[in-house]
Order: sequence, then structure tokens, then C-alpha cells
Amino acid sequence: MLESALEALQILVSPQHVVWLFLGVGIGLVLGLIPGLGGLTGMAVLLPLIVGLEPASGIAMLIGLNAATTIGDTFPSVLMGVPGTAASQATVLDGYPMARKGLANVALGAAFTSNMVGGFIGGIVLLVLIPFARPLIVGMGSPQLFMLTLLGFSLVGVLARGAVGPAFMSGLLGMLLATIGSASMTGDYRFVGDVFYLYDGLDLSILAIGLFAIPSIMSLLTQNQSVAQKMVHQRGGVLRGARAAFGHKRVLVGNSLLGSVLGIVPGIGGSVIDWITYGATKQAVRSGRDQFGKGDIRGVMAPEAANNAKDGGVLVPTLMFGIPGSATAAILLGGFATMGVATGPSMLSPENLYLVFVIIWTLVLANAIGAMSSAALAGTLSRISLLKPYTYGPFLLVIMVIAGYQAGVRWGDVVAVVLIGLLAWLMQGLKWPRPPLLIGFVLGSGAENYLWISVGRYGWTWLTEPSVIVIGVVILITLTAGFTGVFGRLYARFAPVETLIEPTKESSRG
Amino acid sequence: MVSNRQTTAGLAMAAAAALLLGGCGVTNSGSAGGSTDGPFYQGKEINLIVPFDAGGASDVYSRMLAGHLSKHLEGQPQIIVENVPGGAQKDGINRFERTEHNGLNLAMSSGGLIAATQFDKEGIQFDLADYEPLMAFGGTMVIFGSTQAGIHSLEDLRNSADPIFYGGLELNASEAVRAFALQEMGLKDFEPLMGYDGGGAVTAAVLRGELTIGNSTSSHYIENVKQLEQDGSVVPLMTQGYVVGGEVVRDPAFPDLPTMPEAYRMLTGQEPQGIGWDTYTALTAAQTNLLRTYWVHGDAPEEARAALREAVGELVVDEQFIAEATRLLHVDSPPQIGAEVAASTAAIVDLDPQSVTWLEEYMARTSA
Repeated sequence: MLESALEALQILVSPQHVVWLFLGVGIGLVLGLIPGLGGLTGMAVLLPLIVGLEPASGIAMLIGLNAATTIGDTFPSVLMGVPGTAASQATVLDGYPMARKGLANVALGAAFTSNMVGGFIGGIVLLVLIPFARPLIVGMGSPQLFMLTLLGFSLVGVLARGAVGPAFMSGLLGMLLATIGSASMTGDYRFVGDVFYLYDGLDLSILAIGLFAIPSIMSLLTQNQSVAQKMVHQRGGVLRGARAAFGHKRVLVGNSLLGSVLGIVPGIGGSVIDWITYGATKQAVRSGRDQFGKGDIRGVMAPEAANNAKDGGVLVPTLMFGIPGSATAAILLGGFATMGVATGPSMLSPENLYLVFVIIWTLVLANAIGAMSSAALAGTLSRISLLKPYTYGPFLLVIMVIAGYQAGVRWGDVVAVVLIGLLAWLMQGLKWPRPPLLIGFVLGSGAENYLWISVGRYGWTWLTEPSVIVIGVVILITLTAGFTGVFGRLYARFAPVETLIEPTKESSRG
Repeated sequence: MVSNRQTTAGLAMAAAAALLLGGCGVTNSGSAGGSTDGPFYQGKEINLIVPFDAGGASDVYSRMLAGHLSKHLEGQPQIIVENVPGGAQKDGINRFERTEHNGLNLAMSSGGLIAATQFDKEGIQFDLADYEPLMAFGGTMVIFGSTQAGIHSLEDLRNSADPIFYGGLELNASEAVRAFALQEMGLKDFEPLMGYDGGGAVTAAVLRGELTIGNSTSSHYIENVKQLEQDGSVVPLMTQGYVVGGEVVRDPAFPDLPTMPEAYRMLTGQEPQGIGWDTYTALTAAQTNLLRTYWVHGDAPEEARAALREAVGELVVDEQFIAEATRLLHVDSPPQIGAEVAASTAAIVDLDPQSVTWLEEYMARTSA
């Protein structure tokens, strides 16, 4: 075992392999940096290149790329309030307010530290959980998956910060938008009218760009004021962020573990994990819950740790059963097949074990390289928050529309971005929160399909399964908390006063 | 301010990289040009429309094929793959219809699109009868059972005391004929469940016994599911089969597995006949014989079509090509050209209207 681990490390750091790792990480960072492009695009473009590569090189490049996109995507989320990929939507909630306070470099430092720790823990979880993956995959039936989507949806109430009604309306609107297009259960088309573009349904990346990126850039441009007036920490902000991140060890480790375990369950993607960990962290912290959404460093750390940790988890079913845990994992499987790597239980046989370790080392190294090079860039790039928006705004708009267009090469995408942008503007005016809409959209089709299958398969008996009841109780608690804020009041009453000041201490410490 | 300028420069570089990457997905349509003497394709460029995302199995296969086809075409034109995903392939083939019918534009489609011309016509702006199928590569579907649900053999399906749940991704015409075939086998309380999120989700549901039987394409099966046979989690039961000369025959990659009509015979002792089984055969011809079909416009210059036919004839016996194709798909995918592929497409294009009505009604009943 130890021998395989060392052998794999030796292979990976040999010059001919490490070049591919760096190439993958480099491309991944750039893809993450540009809103609208993500790991899926990169994998699809790189896949033809790996034909003929040695497995270790190909794995290093593909997995390195995938890990690095979820690091690079933090930049636009924090600096401009524009999610870099679907997996960094929740980062915007606290990252952008921090940038507005002039703490962009601190937020980035904390985010990259969380990315790195999350990636490490994800790799370790992959190593430890491979033998135990089966019960987890077999235990998660359609009823459990349906309940998990509901649990994710109930977090809308937690995120709402008071305005629970509008938040749920917005979430339900998202679920409604998810029903547009072909219904896979029956093959019928719904809400498509005569518009052929709608037959495929709306695209998540188009929705995210229209909902967050366009309004954010537009309001930056119309006010034409830089995101922040001045940097609080001209120097050393990144390190300060890193130190602050290590100060919240439980947030860091807890979300990494949560992210990697959720990653194992096929059918829960990065964009869902992102919100679940954000909501769960907000629910679980002892103090300063009302700081979330106003620039709490823990709100940046939670999704960032989880979305890198999930990469390890996603690979468990992919490697062990050939069951891709996500769309990128599906492409990765294709890549493995092209290189002649057979996935499945045989991966644990002695002659293949080194490949598992190559993957784990790649996760660890890619996250370390990606996070460190991002941290090196953070000081310079965080000055974007001091620039007048007209210097980069129009350019960014063009990039995003092109990125959205290239996802499907359909003109309808451009129209859809504009229409969704208008909807977002309307919602801003009505003070309806937008994140719930995205959560509803992400969870909508899963919730519907799994409910359909659960009822078709088990009638109503699935409601009496213990695991379903347990998740149901958690949902009820979450909903109660969201509607009444009762836990917040309890904590406020009993928690020691000094811890309440902690988050503000963070922002004023220098 | 110096640092500001550096930042802008950094952004510009990132953008340039993005444009480069983005550009990979978008290529220009084949442009006419070159001299009039010599072979038709001398110095020309062919545009091959693939109606799937870059990186998927159909895309990878088509790119591999494009390289080999170019070698066999006289004049060795460059063949560029253009991905036009979306609209269940209709976007791509609509685009193919709008390109110039000059022999410099080709398209690929799967059997799903061919079936859609009969069963899901919304949004279709072309007529397959106007196109000439150059070649097609097949691939069948494997039906496998869950040992967790007590299925170890074909007989267990019939003798099962529990209801039989069959799962798939989406209820479409080709899924409907498989559901029909299984239902005909006299399975107790047969219930098709559609809406699973990908082949992996179906496999996982079979593993946990939520589904009694699931299906998978043969190459996905060999690549990903077969390993679960070894530890006794799944058992292969039957294949959809290929259609040769109007008869459903076994998949050469799974010589020991009966086809669905054979399984029907084994379980019920009756001959598969009637409009339902006729429709099954027609849809199987589209789904499995024509898994990947390559088209040229029927009104393209005869010179171009003759050159393509000749190249395709050489291609399907090129051992280097066959070896590479087999390595990509893990199964030997029987190629069809000429009259053979025309017969397969005709099975769907000229499908009896009664069959169309019958299947539409069957799908409506199943989803109700």
C-alpha cells in the first residue's frame, strides 16, 4: 500500500508527467477565472488530446484541470459578484460584500486556503472511503435522493435573512423554470410554446450569467464606482485571509468532509453542494449568524472548501463502479476508457492500485499548486476592485455572452441571457432574493424525477422508511428555523457575548 | 496606477485565452474552392456536423473517423468536425439542411434522430428522404438484471413473485419498443420507470434493487457495467439485437445473449408477431443498426457522392480504422454501407403509418 503510494508519487513528479499536471492546472485556472466557462468545457476540449498519452499523464492533466477550475472561479465571485462557475455561486454571497469593504485580498486568501484544505481532505476521503462506498451508493435510493433535494430546498429559508416569503417564492419560480422543456418521465414537452430553443430547457450557466453576472456588471457600470474605495490591507491581505481561515478549523474541516461525502452520492452536483454547505454552516455556527451575507469570512470558506473536497468524493463511485457522480466525471470516465484504464473493483487490485494513488496525489498536488499560484496572483488581481468599472465591465460583458454562446452555439442563448437579466433586475427592484431561484432551478428536475420514480416504484410506502423520516425531520427543523429564527434568538440569548463580535473583529483588525 | 495597468493586461490575456478556447468549438462551414481539374475534393475542406457536445462518445468517434475518411478520399481533403449540440440533434441536422448542398458538408446523426422524424417531429426542418446515408455503425442495447432483486437468469424474470421495475432515462420511441417487448414476455406487474439521471444512475438503481432490470448501450456496458457481473451484482439477460434482412439477430459482441424476440420465444413459447413486434423491428433497425449514421445531401454533385461512396467502401475494410474504432468503443461495431444502410434507414423513413399510430398510443398509455 505504502509502496504503491510512493511509486505513484514518483511517477507523478517525474518531469514528463508533471508537465501535464501543470498544463491541466494552468488551463483550469483560466477557465475558472472566466465566468461561463468551466471544467466541463475544458475537459471536452482536452479530451481528444489525451489519446495516446500515458494514463498517469492523462489523469494528471484532466484531474488537475478539474480541481483548478474550482480554485480559479473564486476570483470573479469575490471581485465582481459574478460566479466564475456553477460551483462558486454561494461564494458570491459573502465574498463580494468583503470585496466592497476593501477586503478582497483577505477573502481570496481565505478562499484559496479553504480550496487547498478541501482538496487535501477530498483526496484523503477518496482513499479512506473507497472500500466503504458501496453501502452509501446502494443506500441512496430515489426516495432518499428526493428527500435530499427537498432538504437543499428548505435551506432557502435559512439563506433568506428574514424575507422568507419572497425567498420561497423565488425558489419556487426557479423550480418552475426547471420544468421548461422535455419531461424525461413521459417524453412530453412543457411550457415550450412554439419556441424551438426552449425544447432543451434552460441552461444552468445561461441562467447564472443572466441572474447574477449581468445585473452585477450593469449596476457597477451605471454607478461607475469601483467595488471598493480602498484596500484595507495593501500588503499581506492574502496571508491574513489564510491565517483567518485556519482560525476557523471547524468550518474548514467540517465543510470539507460534508462536501466530499455529498460528492459520493451520484445526482448531487457541485452547484447543490455549494448551497447546502453554505446553508448548513450558517445554521451551525454559534455566533454572528446575522453577519452571513454581509461579508462573513466563514461564508466564503464553507462553499470553497466543499467544492474542492467534492472532487475526491465524486471519484469514489466513478472509479469503483463506473458510475459517474457528475457530468465532468462522465467525461473523465470516457477519458479513462480512451487511455485503456478500466474502472471498477479491479482498480483496487495490486497492479492498478498505483493509479488510484496517482489520482489522489494529483488531487493533492493540483489543489496545492492551484491554490498557491492563485494566492500569488491574488494581490495583483484583487486591485480590480479598485478599478473604475468602465475599464473592465464592457469587456467582461462580451466575454460572458461569448462564453454563454459557446456552451451551445445557439442564438437563443444570447436572447435568454438578456431576458433573464431583465428578470433579475425586476427581482432586485422587488427585493426578491435571487439565489433561491438558482437553488430551485438546480434542484427542480431532480426533485421531480426522483419523486416520480419513488411513487412509481414504492407507491407511498417509501414515506415510512427510517432514512426518509430522518431527513424529513431535519427538513422540518430547518424550515422552522428559517421561518421563526428561533435558534438564532436562543443562541443570541445564551451564547457568550464576546464571540458575537468575532466576525466584525475580523473586518476591523487592521 | 502602474499596477492597475498590469491588472488590465492580465485580464486581457485571460480573455484572449478564453477566446482561443471558445473558438475551438466554432469552426467555419466548408468553403468551396480549388481547381476544377483533378479529383473533386482536391484542395477542399469538408465540414462534418456532429449534433453532440464535444468530448462525448459520438464526437470522439466522429473525429477519429474524419481522419481516416480523409485518407481514403481522393484528393485528401481536410475534414473538420463542427459540434452543433442541442434540440435532441435537430439543431444540428437543421443546420446541415441550411448549409450548401455542394458535397462539402456532411452530417452525423444517431438512431434517435431518425426515429424522431416519425415520432417527435416538432422542430424538424428537413426530410431524411432527401439525404443519402453514406455509412452507419451499429451498437446495441444490453438489458441486465439485478441480483439484489432476485434476478439471476431469464427464467427468474418470469417466475418473480415481485413486480418487475424497468428503468431508463427518457420515454422515447426506442425506449418504448423495449418496454413493449419486456411487457409482452408476460412479466408480473411490469412497470417502466423513466427519468433517471444518466446511465450511472440506472446502474446504481439496479445495484440497490430499486430497479429489477435496467439497460445500457453495449459499449457503456462493456466499459462500465460488466465488472459488476464478476462480483455477482448484475446479470446480463438479453440484447435488443441487430436487424439483418428484416430479422432481428444477435449482437456479435454478445453471442451468448438472446435478443428480445428470442427471449419472448423462450419465455412464452410463442412467435413474436403482430404490429407491436413489427414496430420493434423497425425501431431496432433505426436504434441499433444506425447508432451512428453519416449523411450527405442527396442533391450534392454526383461527382462528390461517387467519391464519398468509394472512400467509404475502402474505409470499412481498413484494418487500421477498424482497430482504432474497436479500441474506442470496446465492441466491434458492424459497419453498413450502400444498399444495407439504405435498407435500414428505409425501415424508418417508410414506416407503416399504422405502426406510428400504434407506438404513439402505446407511449401515451405507458406515461398515463
